[in-house]
Amino acid sequence: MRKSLAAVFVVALVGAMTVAFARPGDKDASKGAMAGGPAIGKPAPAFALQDQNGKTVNLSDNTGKVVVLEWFNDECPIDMRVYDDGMNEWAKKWTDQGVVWLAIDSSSTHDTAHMKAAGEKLKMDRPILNDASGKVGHEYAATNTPHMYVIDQQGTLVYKGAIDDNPRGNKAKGEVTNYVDKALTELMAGKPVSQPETKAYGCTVKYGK
Amino acid sequence: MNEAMRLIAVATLLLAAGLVAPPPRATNARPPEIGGKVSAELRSDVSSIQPGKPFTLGVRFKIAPKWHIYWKNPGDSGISTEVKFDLPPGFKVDELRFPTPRVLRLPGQITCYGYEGEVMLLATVTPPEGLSSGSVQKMKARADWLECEEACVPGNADVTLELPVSDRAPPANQELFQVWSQRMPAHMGPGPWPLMSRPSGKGRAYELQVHWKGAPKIVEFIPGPSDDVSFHDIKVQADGNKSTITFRVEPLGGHTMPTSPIRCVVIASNHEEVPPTGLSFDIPMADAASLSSSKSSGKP
Repeated sequence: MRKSLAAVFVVALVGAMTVAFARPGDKDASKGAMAGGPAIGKPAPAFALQDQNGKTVNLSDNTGKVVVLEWFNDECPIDMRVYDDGMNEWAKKWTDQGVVWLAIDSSSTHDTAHMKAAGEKLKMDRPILNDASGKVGHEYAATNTPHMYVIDQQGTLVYKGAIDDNPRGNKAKGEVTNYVDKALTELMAGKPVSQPETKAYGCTVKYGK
Repeated sequence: MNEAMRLIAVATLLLAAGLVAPPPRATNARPPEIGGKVSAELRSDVSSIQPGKPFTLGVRFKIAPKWHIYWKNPGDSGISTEVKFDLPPGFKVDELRFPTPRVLRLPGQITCYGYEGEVMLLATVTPPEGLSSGSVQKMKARADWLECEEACVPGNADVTLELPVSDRAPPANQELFQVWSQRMPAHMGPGPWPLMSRPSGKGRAYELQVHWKGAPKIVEFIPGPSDDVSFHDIKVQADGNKSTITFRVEPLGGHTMPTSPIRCVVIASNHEEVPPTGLSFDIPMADAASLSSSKSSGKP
C-alpha cells in the first residue's frame, strides 16, 4: 500500500511542478477567512468614525502625530484583565507625550450609548469610536480584543498585534514586554520599530453575522 | 449525537442516578463555577501503576452546548488550552497530545480551531522503577483554557488522581481512552512527500496533496501554532479521492522563518456531526537544499 502510494505521490510531485498553484473553481477556504489586513510599512487605511460624544474622528486629521488604535470590548474578560494591568495608564503616559490613542469598538451589538457608558465605567479618557458595522475592523483585520495598531507621523502602519506577551495574564509584572510601549519608545526616539508584528491575543471581535 | 457520545451520556446519567458505582479512587472533577461552562477531570488508562511501565493520563473536558474551547493553535482569536502536570518525583510525562480539532467559523470571517461537547487531551507518563508496592501516588494537573460562546470566560481547574502502585497495571477506562486515542491525528512522517514548496515573498508557498480512500465531503487545513509566522490563502481543491491544498506562510513583521517545521493538521469528514479524521504533517519552513547545507556546515 505504501509503495503504490509513494508512486502516486512522486507522479503528483512531478506533475505539480508545471501546474499553477490555484485554479478557477477551487473550493477556496480562504474566502471564509479574514484577509491579512494592512501591511507593515504601508499607509494605514483611512477611516472616519463617530466617537462616544457624536464627534466624527478622521484618521487623516492626525497626520504629523503618532496614532495608536486599540480595539476593545468592555465585555471581554481578557481585555478587562489587560485594563487591570494598566491599559488606561499606558494610554495616559503616551497621550501626555502627544500620541493620539483611539479606542475602537467593533462589537455589532454595541451602540454609542453602550460605548459612552463603558468609557465612563472604565475611566477611559480618550475617544471611543463606534465601528459596530465592523467595516473598519475588517479593513484592519482586527480579530481580537485587545488588538493594537501603531501608525507613525507619516500615516504608515509600523506595528500591529498584541498589547504584550502576556496572553494568560500569568507573568510577573517585571517579566512582561509591552510591545506597544516598546514601539512608541522607539518611534519617539526616531528609531525604527524593532518588532513590527506579533500575534494578537484576546476574545474574538464580536462582528455581526 | 454519535454512538460514543450517546454511550457517554447514558453512563453519566446512570452514574448520576447512583446506579453505577464510581471507579475506586475516583478523580476530582471540578464542578462548573457559576457561569463556568466547562469542567475538567483527570483519568488514567490503568487502575494501578507498575513501576517503570508507561501509562496514559487523560484530561477530560466537558463543554456545555454551544460553547467551545481552543486547540493548541486557537486560530484568529481565542487562547489555547494548556495543561501543566505536577507528578511525583521521578515520573516523566511526554508532550500533551491534542485530538483532531474542528474548524470553528465565527461571525466576521474569523476562523478558529477547537472543540465542542467533549475532548480529552492525552499524555504518556513513565513512572520510575523504584516505587514501593502498595504506596499511593498522586497525579496532579492544572488546566487553563478560554471557553467561548457569544461571550468568552477564562477557565482553569486543578485536577488530581490517586493511583496505587502494584506489580501489575490492569487497564481502566478502556473505551474512553480508545475513543480519544483514535481521535488523535495520524502522523504522516517523513518519506515520500506529496508536498512542494517554493520561496514566496519573505516566506514560502506550499502545495500539499492528500490521497483518500473514498472522497470526503469536507476537507480543511489547520495550521499549527507559531509566534513567528502567519498562514494565508489556504485553499483546498477536491478532485475525486485527491485533495490539493495550497497555502502561503509569511513571517510576522520583524520575524524570520523558523528553522523547525510546524506541525499542521488536515481534517476530513463526510458530515459536520461526525468527528473528523485527522492527519498531521510537519511542514518545513526552509527548503530541503538550505536545510541540508546548514546540516553540512554544522549550523543548527
